[in-house]
Amino acid sequence: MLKPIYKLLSSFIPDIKKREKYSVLLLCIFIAGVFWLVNAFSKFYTERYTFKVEYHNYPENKVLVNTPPKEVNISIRSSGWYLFGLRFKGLPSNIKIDLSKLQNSKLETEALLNQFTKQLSRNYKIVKISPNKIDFSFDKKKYKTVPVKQNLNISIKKQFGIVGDIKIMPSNIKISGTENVLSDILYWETDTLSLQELSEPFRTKLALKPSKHNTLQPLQDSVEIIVNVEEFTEGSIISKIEGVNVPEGKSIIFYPKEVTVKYITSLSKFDEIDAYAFETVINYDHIDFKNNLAKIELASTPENTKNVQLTPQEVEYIIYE
Amino acid sequence: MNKPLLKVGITGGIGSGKTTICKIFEEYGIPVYYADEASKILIQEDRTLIEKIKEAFGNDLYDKDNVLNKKLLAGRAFSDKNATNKLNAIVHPAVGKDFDRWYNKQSTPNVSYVLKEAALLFESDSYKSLDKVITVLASEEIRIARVIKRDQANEQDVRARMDKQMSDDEKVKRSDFVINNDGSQSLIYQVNEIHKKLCAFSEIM
Repeated sequence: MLKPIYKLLSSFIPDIKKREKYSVLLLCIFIAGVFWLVNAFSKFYTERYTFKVEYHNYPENKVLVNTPPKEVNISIRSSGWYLFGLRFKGLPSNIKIDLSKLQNSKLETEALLNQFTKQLSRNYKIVKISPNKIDFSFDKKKYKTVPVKQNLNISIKKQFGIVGDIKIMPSNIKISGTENVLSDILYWETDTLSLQELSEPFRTKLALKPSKHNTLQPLQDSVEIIVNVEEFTEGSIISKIEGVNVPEGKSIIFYPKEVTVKYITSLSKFDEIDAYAFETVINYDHIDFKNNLAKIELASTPENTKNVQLTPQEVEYIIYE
Repeated sequence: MNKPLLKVGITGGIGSGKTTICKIFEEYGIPVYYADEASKILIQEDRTLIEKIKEAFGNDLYDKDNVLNKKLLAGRAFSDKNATNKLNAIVHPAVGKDFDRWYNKQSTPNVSYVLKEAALLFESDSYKSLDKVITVLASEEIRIARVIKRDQANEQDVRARMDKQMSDDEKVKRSDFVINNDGSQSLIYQVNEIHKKLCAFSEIM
């Protein structure tokens, strides 16, 4: 045991006799230190730790409406050895609180003590918990079905377009919460997703936005989004204009009777569009009688068409009784 | 007994927009006889007319199924003025008879007149059997542009066809009503005014 000390001192103390004396002295100090440490670690100490809290097993059909503490301070008493050991093993990152053990919507000190003690080793004794009790306030859980609103930011490559609507599956989701919170919720938004220069069909899972209320939760966390992108082409047809809403006893004469309808549609739907697909009308109720031209209106357009243009846009008309 | 319907002619130079005007009159429920269209059908279907054309311009104009070779007829009938007059002298009376047959069949209620649309109403003298005549006018530039677009023709051909027709001034002198179809006036309003006058005229007849 002396040899390493002796060797260590040889470079500082050239005198052999002195070196022997100091070696003995240092050995004694070392042994005394070891005894002191053993004694100190054997004593009991109290340390305060802060734990994050996770609440589990919420009662079914109930919604927590207050905000219980997210952290608790726990004073732990144990021997120096165990407390020192905690420094290396580390503390549990979270302390779990099981809400199925609730009594009268409260967890008193004793109940908290029981729950926390089980999650720590037997060698640690909890001496203080702050807060020493946790109150929970519940309201009846209700359900509501709301539409999903997608937050897609899409740009389509030139000469391509979206066929039909963007599909959201499911288009409606169930959400749970208290009655008064649910009444304000009219839809549920998805996360934002940007898709640039799309030129082919796109399908993805898109997360729903997290709830802003503790008491409000969607029953699913994502939906599927389908964007059907196809190459588009230009079409043109001649549509017969009809007069509508003409009061009984009156007639409307207008000219021309036909209008050229130009539109853009997907290649796959191009052959499905004929002259009857577009309904073009002169609506008596919308005529400005100070003007001798009446506006041609598109009463209906087939699905999957866009950029619809009419030529001419107005016709001469005359009303007679 | 019902009053006889007025016979109203509507004419105008090539590309003046006669058919457009007739379509507006049709909106008022007025029956329209399209003489040029009728003549195209008659020279294909009227046996008497076919025989006369064969006699005047050659049997080879029609095949064994009596289908007319239009190109051959155009080459022979429009090569000189005499030939054109000869063809018109054969076709126009046939069209006149066809119009009479058509007129006798008209029994549309609440209608006081019928229209006969023809490009050569004055040239063929058929205007003499009509009660009133409307002439449709448009500037030469507009008419040429319309015909080039409609018939895919060139300007020279269009001008050649225009030269064979009576001048607009002469037509206007012989007409009871004039419609300007050069975009400067509302067609529908002009038609409406003439329609009202024709209805009133039929009342006092």
